Amino acid sequence: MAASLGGDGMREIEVDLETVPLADSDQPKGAVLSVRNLSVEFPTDDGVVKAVDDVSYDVYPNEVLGIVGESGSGKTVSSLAVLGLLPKTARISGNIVLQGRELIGLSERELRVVRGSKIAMVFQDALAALNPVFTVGDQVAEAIEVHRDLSKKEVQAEVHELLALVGIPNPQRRAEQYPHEFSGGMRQRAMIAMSLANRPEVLIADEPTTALDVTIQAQVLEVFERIQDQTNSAIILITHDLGVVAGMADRVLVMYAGRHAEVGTVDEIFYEPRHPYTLSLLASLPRLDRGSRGERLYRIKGQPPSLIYVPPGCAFHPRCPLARLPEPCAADRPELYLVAGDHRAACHFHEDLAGLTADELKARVSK
Amino acid sequence: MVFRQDDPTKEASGGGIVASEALVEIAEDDALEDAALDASDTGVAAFVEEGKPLSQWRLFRRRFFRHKLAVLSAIILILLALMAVFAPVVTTYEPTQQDLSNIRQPPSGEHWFGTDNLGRDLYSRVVYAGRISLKIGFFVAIISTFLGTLIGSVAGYLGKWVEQLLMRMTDLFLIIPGLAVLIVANNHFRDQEIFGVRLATDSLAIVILSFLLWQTIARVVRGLILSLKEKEFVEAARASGASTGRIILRHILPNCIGPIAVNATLVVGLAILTESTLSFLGFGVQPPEMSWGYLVNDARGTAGTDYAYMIYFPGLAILLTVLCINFLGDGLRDALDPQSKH
Amino acid sequence: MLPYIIRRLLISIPVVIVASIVLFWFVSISTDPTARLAQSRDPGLVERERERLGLDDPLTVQYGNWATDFVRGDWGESFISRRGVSTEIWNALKNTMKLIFWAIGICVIVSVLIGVFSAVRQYSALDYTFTTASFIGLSIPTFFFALLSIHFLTTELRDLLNWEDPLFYSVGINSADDKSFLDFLRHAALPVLTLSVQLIAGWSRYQRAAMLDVLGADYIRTARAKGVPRRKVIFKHALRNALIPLTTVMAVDIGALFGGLIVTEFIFAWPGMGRLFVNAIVQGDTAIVLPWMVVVATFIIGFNLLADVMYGVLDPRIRY
Repeated sequence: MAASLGGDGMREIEVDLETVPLADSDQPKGAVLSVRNLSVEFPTDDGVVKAVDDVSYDVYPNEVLGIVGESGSGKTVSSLAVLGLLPKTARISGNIVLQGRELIGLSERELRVVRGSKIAMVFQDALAALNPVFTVGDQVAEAIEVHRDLSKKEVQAEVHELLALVGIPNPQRRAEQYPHEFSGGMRQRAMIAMSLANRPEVLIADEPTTALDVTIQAQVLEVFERIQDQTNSAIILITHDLGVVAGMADRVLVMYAGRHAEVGTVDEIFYEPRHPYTLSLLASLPRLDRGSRGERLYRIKGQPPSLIYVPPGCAFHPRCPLARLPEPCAADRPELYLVAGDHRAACHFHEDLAGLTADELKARVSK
Repeated sequence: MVFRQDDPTKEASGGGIVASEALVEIAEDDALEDAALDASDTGVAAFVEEGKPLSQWRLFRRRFFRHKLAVLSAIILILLALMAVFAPVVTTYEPTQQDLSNIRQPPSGEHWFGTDNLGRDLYSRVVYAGRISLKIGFFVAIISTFLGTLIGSVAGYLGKWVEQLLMRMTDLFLIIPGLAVLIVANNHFRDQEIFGVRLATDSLAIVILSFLLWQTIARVVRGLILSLKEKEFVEAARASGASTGRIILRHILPNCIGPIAVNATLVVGLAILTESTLSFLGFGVQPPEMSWGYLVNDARGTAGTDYAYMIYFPGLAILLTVLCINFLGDGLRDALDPQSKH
Repeated sequence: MLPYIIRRLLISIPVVIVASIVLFWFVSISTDPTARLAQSRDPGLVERERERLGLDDPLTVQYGNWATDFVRGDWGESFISRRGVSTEIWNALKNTMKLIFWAIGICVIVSVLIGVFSAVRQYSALDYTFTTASFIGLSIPTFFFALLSIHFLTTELRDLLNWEDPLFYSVGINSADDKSFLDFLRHAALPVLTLSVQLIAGWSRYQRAAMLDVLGADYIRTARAKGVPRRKVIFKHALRNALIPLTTVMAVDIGALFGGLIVTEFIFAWPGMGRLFVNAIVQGDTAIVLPWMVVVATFIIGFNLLADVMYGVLDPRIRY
């Protein structure tokens, strides 16, 4: 049922990034998108909100990078920063490098070349994210028309192909319908179809399944998998759901309070976590197959911190069961220490965490 | 959104405002429809959180005083009200005192607003007329707010056919030509006795205007009650056994005060405008009483002449008052609704 | 789509009927057709007149008679002019419609542009200017503005320009000796201006609020994320959505204008519905009052219906 992307008959998508200057950075070879020391601040009446604070990560083609964190951890803001979609009041610093070209500081016109073509984004609530007064077909077509010059017929054909690709039955009829006539899962698929219109190098999916039922979630995630089979796109999957990450991601970035906490492969994160926050997240997953009856559900004590008054030193220290106060946890902000290979954790005591499992953590805490 | 941070491990993180992803909205919500004209404005967002009344009030005060324009308007209105109350103190001449040797004098040190066709001091006429105009505005607002809240809450809370009936009644007011009806009513009842009492023209105006304007408040209140009824904290109260009366009194009404106050303020302005229009046409306040509208009517013929100042002053009085009321109402509405920022 | 329209239409009919009943009741208790005869020296005249008009019959009977006459087109005769009420109203209606037509043409475009601009350039100096101007426009009594416009734009302007005739006229709809279109425009300018001030003040604020609402919506962010140029985002994606509530508000406001131009027409002696009404009241020509009110109410209901239909046309979500 899935049509194939690329291949004969499909014109090569040429997006002219020649005007964008080459970046002066240490983008690793092969990485398609690199974020270095990204910080985003918003001035508000009550103070400056540090939504993203010195975050770095890389994304490689054909992989899924899962960005995990609670609400307010900065995961969505950092993605919006990539596309330049933040409000004018936002203060952005750092580097965002796409295939060797720096994105921060680009003019609106230059950014438009990138948006929807090189980097595409799928948003959370498809009902709100689709314009209610235009047909779905029109909106998918627009994604194509904005970047490429095709005849009406060609556009139509591609629209139908895209809809079919994401698993929407009867694409010709569906394209004439309005968003409110679609079911939740189909709407999300339509959004995905829209984002694929120009074969993006990077596809950012911001909580694509949060608003959906579990069964529909699985279907939508399957669409993502199918897309990856067909293209070389990198997918950044933003979510707070560890289960989704476990199923889909190749690598994972854990964020907390606008900062990176830990980054590594999905196995490393799940089986060898080296940051107390990651450990705590894993420990708080309710498991039917582990633990004893009557055992209380583990929860991380306290609440996420205010992003205006972030705790000094390590942002997690007030809630960390393993913190050593006041030195160094409340005084020095941890860097992204190297654990092994590409596995890094921002904890002063990441070595001590080796081998510590979630159950052991729970036991330690409840004492 | 305001959260209360009461976790003792939080000493490190001072203040209590958690920034949420709501910050990424591209534009602020700044809906400024005039509530008196738009019947479906409920402004519920204002008080949706069940919070300690104390902190909400302080928040409200802080937000309100940031609106310099609204604060300025409030001050001006208070001054105007004081002038109206203490009219004899702030004026030197009697408003009806004629001086035929001094007719049509332009504004001077002696007569701040000049004199009219019969030599009467325009300044004192404007001040005394202000008494009537402001009184009418104030009382119409009180009566319509009272009536409107009563009927609106009954309709909203009881629902079913009661609500349907009451709401159809308010809809009727939208369909009939308002000003025309006011004119006919004033024209007729001016010479009639209502319940054996012949009303002075200003009191008559109050009654008739209230009769027309209560329905704007009723509609707002009913909308409020409807949406509040479904809120979780009401369900929670009901689930814990609170009686209907208690629910209304302690949970629903406190959340209504804000939007009702805003609408009541705007009704004052609407009442003053309507009354002045009626009086201008000759159907509202008539001698022996006088209002600003009446004064403008009196001076109508001076348009295009050198004596047009007779029109300016009462007209500006109306404009200034209503403008301040609108700014004040706007400021109140912004201060109540945490989602719209300036 | 059509069934939707027909359904709304059918609902409107009983509304018109109920309105006419209420208005009939109101008019019968607050007007007295025999009042002008009170001065007469003929003692039986009032009696006979009451007999003739059936004023002593029960109200329901009176209403029945009146309603059947009304529907058949027999609206009675004006006591003053001795012409048919329907003729009077029809002539007045035509003149009022001219004012409304010109005013809407200007106001719709200006309001939308101001609203869009204010929303897109929120908090700019121009936005604040427009906002303040709107507040003033909404707070100024119509008659005051009308008188000011007469004062400054007729004789003063004429003197300033050193002309013989004023550029704009302030009385009536035509000059006695000049029925040209230009003459009409010179007469219509000030009333239209007066009317426009109010409309633009209200509509531009509404448009601004609607645009701000829409600009904050998720689908705008999606459009930008797709790479849609800014101008297109505003005028295609945002405006199209913001116009939905605005057009309904406009339709309702316009409906109210048919009976709402009383002050403007009174001051400018414009021979329209408003002036007809005021004169009828002042002169005790009660025969006009009820038909006038019913006509106006019908227009209001009709435009409300139009607003509903337009909402359905513009917003696919509520079409069926």
